[in-house]
Parts: sequence; structure tokens; C-alpha cells
Amino acid sequence: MRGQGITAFTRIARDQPSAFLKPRVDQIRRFDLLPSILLGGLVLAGVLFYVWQHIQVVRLGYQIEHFQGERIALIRQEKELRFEVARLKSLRRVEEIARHQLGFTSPRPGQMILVE
Amino acid sequence: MPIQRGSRGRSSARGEAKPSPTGSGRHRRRIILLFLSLAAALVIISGRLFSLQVPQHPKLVEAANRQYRRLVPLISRRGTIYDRNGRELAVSLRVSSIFAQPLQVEDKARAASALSAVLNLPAQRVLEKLKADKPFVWMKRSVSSDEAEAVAKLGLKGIASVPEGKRFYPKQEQGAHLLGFVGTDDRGLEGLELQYDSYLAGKPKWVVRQQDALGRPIFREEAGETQGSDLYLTIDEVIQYVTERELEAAVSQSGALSGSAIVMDPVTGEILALANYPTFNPNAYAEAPAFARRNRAVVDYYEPGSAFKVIVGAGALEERLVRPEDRFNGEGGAIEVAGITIRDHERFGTITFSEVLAHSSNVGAIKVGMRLGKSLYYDYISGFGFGNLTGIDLPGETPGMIRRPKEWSALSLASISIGQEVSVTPLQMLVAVSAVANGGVLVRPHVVRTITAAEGKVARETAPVQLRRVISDGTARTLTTILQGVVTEGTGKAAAVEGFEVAGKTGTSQKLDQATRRYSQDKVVASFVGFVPAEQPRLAIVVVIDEPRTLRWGGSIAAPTFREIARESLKHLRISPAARGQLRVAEGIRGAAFRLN
Repeated sequence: MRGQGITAFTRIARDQPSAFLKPRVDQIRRFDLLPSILLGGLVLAGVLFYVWQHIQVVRLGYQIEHFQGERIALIRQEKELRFEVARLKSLRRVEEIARHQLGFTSPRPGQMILVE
Repeated sequence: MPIQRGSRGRSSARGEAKPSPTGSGRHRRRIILLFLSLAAALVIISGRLFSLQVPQHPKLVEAANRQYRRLVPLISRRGTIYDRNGRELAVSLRVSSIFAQPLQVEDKARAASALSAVLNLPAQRVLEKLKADKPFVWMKRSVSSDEAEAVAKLGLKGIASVPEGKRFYPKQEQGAHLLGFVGTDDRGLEGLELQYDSYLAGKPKWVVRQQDALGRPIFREEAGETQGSDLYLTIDEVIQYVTERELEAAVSQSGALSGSAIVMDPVTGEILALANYPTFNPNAYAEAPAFARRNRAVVDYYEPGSAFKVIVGAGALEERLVRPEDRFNGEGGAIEVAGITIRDHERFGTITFSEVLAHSSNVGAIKVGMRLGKSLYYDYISGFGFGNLTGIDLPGETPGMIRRPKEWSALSLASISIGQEVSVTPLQMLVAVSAVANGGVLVRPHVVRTITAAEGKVARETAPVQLRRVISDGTARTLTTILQGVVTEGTGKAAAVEGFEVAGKTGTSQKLDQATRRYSQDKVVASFVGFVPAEQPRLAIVVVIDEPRTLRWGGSIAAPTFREIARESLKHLRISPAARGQLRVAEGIRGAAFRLN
């Protein structure tokens, strides 16, 4: 029994860390997992960032297209308004209004003096 | 690990002498198994990747591009045409055109009924188009935004709209012959629109657009609107308007067939106004008759009559064959040449050369022409640019008609001395008289001042071109003084502008009757060509009235029109009689070397 006990102890001593060593080993093993966890987290963050920026690009693309459309519409409106201004400033129309609606006449020779 | 430890503990406890395979051995097997599995998976994935990336690559790229990328044509907006002060004369706006893909239209009768109501088209015509065995038909081009929206609201399958550029002329008839017009395909058909089409139209542009599965655009590789270059003309909108207004009044007042008038800077050759009447509205050019659309000031020619005496006078003075005070026998108002009697409009006695031009004596002019002789006279005629194009940047210019001296009959020298048997355009006549105005140099007329690219860069700038000296400065000054006499005491009194000295020449020529091949007794062309202020000219103006029924003389219909155009234009340019002393001198012209072509 004694001898058996010694053998068993020896086996345990050989195969298993002693009780006082166990926490230290677990600590080391936990410490060994840390880089893997960090690496995994980093990879996951990278993947998430990649996906996020891709989504952002698409979202901004939609926004740009939307604003482009608005810009084109505003430019078109501006041109239409400029055309309308040019049409209303037609000298034929202005003279028509001046002569027939407002009763204006052209100054006769001598009625106009140019101030230099 | 605790399990392993437990297992070992149990076997020890049972007293099994033979040790079981060690944990490291099992680990190794498992690792090998895992490795092999992963390797197999890797091989399969690599094989698949190779298949996708290498043999199927082109096909898949094409499929992806087809799905996500789309080539979109950008509509090239036609450039704007401005006057010299930046006022819009022709602008392009974006409009929609409705088209149909008949093969995709399901209920054609219903679609035709709905479209005809919205587009204001006959239902039968719409139905015919929808029944056509074609993949594409236009339903209506250049519709209003309301019409386009209404069509979109119908939601008909196979009916859609496409944006297009459409040309608008905000000033309607103003400058119509200069500007011309564009067709439905936005290409220039007449006038400056045709002449500068390559600049105005811009270049077709395509952009690559990324789109999602629903076809919504996400991104485009190149943004921005393509645009043609803008034209800045030498035309002054106000002078153009005044010229058109006065010309219309003259044609209406005299009951004439038509009329043309041009205003030019005689020093630079810049055309300030060019008008024809009847005219047309380029916004609806298809409704105007071809006659109204002709730019007669440049395209048509006429016999200038007495206005051509300026040329015979210039040649004779330059060759020192006459002096202003030389006297000529008026022969009682008639002279016989080659058996033909040519009469004056009144019986003159002995008159000076100055009076020959001032009172427009045919007899005197014929005698001056005979002194000059065929060869020299022809040299001066062609030297002043007759028989050749002026080189103006407008399409369809004609060179007029002047025969070579060897083709002249015995009567020709006399006839050409009084402006018959020679055909010129109003523009040629103006350019020739401008040479007298500016000191003797023929300039090239032009209408476009600058061409500005879409980015604002000046793509082309037209500098004044002096073609050649045709008479000396001294001759030009002498002739100017004589032509002032036309307005102060001769046939062109009605051209006088209060406070200014005007130089010019009237012309009234009989038209050739096409039926009898003889000069008509009642069809004439009345004209006046001159410049103001005479001593330092700013404006050279020609007015030509074709077939006036009343007021048939150049002095009675064209000269007053000249006066009105000149007076209003001088006022607009703020040239007052008091400011004449500050007018610019024709720099570089008076000093140019004498050369007669």
C-alpha cells in the first residue's frame, strides 16, 4: 500500500501539476488565449469596418445622386427664369408698353443733352 | 483537460498495466484529420476560385457590369448666343420628348386614347404609331413639363420620355437672320447656328453610372453637364432693334417688297446690326415662308445704281484723273453711248465733279468712268471687293456679279459707271464705303467677337482684319468731303443727322424685268450707304429697299431710314455732337502701306 501510494504519487506528480502549481498554469493558459482573442477581435473589427464603409459609400452615393438631381433641376429652373427675363426685356415689348400703356415718346432732337 | 486527467486517473485506479494510446497521439490524429479536412476544403475553394477568376472571369465581369454599371449619355447643352453686351439672344433649355416602344404597349387602344388626350394629338394618329411594327417611335418631341408629367402619371408600359435640348430665342424676330435656327435634332440649319454649329453643339459625352438591383443610380464616375461654347457677337441688341424697327417702317411706308439694312463699325469691321424685312420668328421657323427666312443682306444681290458712283469717283481721284473742282458738261441731262441714250433725273448744265456725285449726275459719272477706262475701273471695282466674298462669318454669302472687261459691251463702261450691269450685295456695298470712311483700307466684316468654352476660357477671339489698302488716305478724305456734299446739298439731304456731319450716297437703280429682259420702268431698288460722323466715323450704314411703290428714290425712302438708324444708334452709343472731338482715330489704318489689288 505504501509502495502503491508512492507509485501513485509519483504518477500524479509526473502527469499532473501539483496543487500549488495549478492556478499558475491556468493563468498562463488564459494568458495564452489573449492574443488569439485580440486578433480575432481585430479581424472582426476590420471586417465590420469594411462592411460599414461599404454601406457608407453606397449611402453617400444615393445622397450624391439625389443632390445631383436637385442641382440639375435648380440649374434648369435658373435657365428657364433667365430665359423668361430675357423674353420680358425684349425691346419690342418694352417699347410697346412704354408707348401704348405709359404714353412715353422718344425725345426729339434738342430735348436730350448728354452730360459727359 | 480535466476529463483527460480523470480518464487517466480511472485507468490507473483499475490497474490497467498496458497504457492506452497517449493523449498526444490522439491529438495528432485529430489535428491530421482536421488539417486534411481543411486542406480538402481549401482545395475545393481554390478550385472554385480559380474557375471563377480565370476561365469564367470575362463572362462574370461582363455580367456584373451589365447589372451594376450603365453607360448614360449626357445631353450636350447647346451654347448660348449673346450680343456684345452679354444679353441672351439664343438659349437652350432642357425639355422632354415622349417616345413609345410599340411592341411593349399592351392595350394599344386605351394607351392611344389616354396619350391623345394628354399630348393633344389626334387619337387615330397616336394609335397608328402604336400599331407600327417598330421597336421605337417618337410620339411627340419637345413637350412641356406639364405634358411630360401627365404622361408619366399615366404609367403606361412602353411609353416613356427622354430629356432633350431645345433652342429658344427670347427676343423672337430680333436678329432672326443673323442667328438662324436649329432643327429638332438640335443641329444648326441657318445663320450663326449653322456657321458655328461645331462650337455651339459641344461634344457628345457618356458617363458610367453604378446602379443597384432596382436600377437606382448609386454613383457616377464623371458628373457634370456637357455644354457647347457660348458665342459673344459684335451685334448690339439696341442698334439691332432700332435697325429692324426703322427698316420695317420704311418697307411698310413705301409698300416695298422687302428691305435690308446693316450697321457696321467701319474701322474694325464689326457688324453692329443686320436686318431684313420681311422677317420671321426662329422659334417657329417652319411656319415662315422661305423668302422671309433669306438673309438677303448677305445672300441676295442687286444693282446698286448711283451708289456705285462712289467707286468710279474713288478710282478717278486716286489716279488723279479728276479733281473735286473739275467741271463737266451735263449735256442737258442726256448722253448717248453705243446708240443708247442715258438720261439724268434732271437737266444739268456745267457742274463740278463734286456736284456730279452730290446731285448724282449719270452723264457726269459716265464721263468720269470713261476717263478712268475699262481696265483701271475694273481694278478698282475688284479692289473694293466686288465680285468676291467679303469673308463674313455667315453662311450662304454670294460674291455678286461683275464681268471681266473683255466681256464688257460698248455700253458696259457707261452702265457700270452708274451702277448698272453690276450686281453687289448690300454687305459688299457697305464694306466698300467703309474703306472710304476709315481712310482707304478694306476690312473684313465679322459677326462673332469671342467664343467662350464651357469652363469660361476664351476659345477664339476675332481680331479686326484689314484686307488691303484700296485708296490712299488723301483720296479717302477728299471723297469723304464730296460725299458730305451729297447730304448737305445733294440727293441725300434726308440722311442728315442733327449735329453731325454725314457722308453718303443715294442710289436708285432700275430692276431687270425677267420677262422682257429689259430694265423695268417701275421696279426699282432704292438705297443709301454712308457713314457718320464723317470726319471720324463710328457707324457705316447701308439701307436697301426693294421695289418701293411710293417714295421710289433712294433719297426719299432709304436716306431717311439711314438718318433714323444713325440718330438712335449715336444716342445709344452716347456719341454727342460735343463729344466728336474725343472720338477715336482709326489707329493703324491711316498709316498702312498703299497697295492696290
